[in-house]
Amino acid sequence: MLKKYLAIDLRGYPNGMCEKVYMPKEIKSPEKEEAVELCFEDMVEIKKVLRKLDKTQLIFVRGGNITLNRGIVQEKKVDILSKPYPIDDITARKASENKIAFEINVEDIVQTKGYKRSRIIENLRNTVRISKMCHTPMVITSGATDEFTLKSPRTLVAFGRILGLEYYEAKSAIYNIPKMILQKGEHEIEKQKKF
Amino acid sequence: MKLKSKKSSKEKKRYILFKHMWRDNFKKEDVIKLIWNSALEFLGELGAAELSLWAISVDEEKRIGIVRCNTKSVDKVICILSLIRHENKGTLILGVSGTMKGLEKWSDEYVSKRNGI
Repeated sequence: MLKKYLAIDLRGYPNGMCEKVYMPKEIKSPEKEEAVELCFEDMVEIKKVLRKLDKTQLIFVRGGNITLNRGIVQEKKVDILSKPYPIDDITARKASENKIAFEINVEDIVQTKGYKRSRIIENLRNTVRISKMCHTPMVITSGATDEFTLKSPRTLVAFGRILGLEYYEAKSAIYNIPKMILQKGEHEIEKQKKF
Repeated sequence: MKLKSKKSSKEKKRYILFKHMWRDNFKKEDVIKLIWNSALEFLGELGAAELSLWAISVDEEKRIGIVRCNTKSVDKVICILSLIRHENKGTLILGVSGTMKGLEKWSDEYVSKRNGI
């Protein structure tokens, strides 16, 4: 089934279509999970939890207002900024320097309707435009929570195209960039061993 | 003189195979209605008119269906199909192809039966 598309889903439900699937768990205090998501409205609390988290873990941080987003992208330990809106070019440039990716979660679009959906699409399009300008990595995730809401890699690419990505960019957002993010943690462990 | 339009002047088509996750024996008419409602909601009347969208077949038992659209709007149609939610269950895109026969890769049993092979 759709073997042409190699895909790594960083937020999804295990299935045969993707090479690897992660299910980030929302946490309030440091926990030993493979993938974690921090949802705080205060930068001080984010920093407090980040200090105690392991570098091998996949760390998502949920964005909020522009000040919070700017603070999040300055933390090198963070891997992915989820719900990356509102952002500006300064945030995008800093994220690019620290190799922090922006997440496009398809389920955010699917679960909403009408005015809210159009606002989310507008914000995501703006995020895509700015991150293309500043060469910030982007990942597209399905956000599936059960087998009935699964999405194939082709669907993720189609959503990327709708939001303004080119075909090759959308394809790399589902495989190359997630792979790069996963390798980032491995490099840091090797560095630690050397010193 | 032949009164046949050139092949190059015809619109290029793509066939999309999908599987819906809703309950068994969901009627064909209801599936088509859900697809069109989703298209009208997401793209509006003008946008939906540009798709050349046509539901070719829907298998009520196997919950598989085929829709046709033009090459320019494949991504839009895939989005429309995956935006459909009924009873908190969605649809899964199985494959896209330029011919009906090409869809056999993803569901050979259903497509070849439909083609009468």
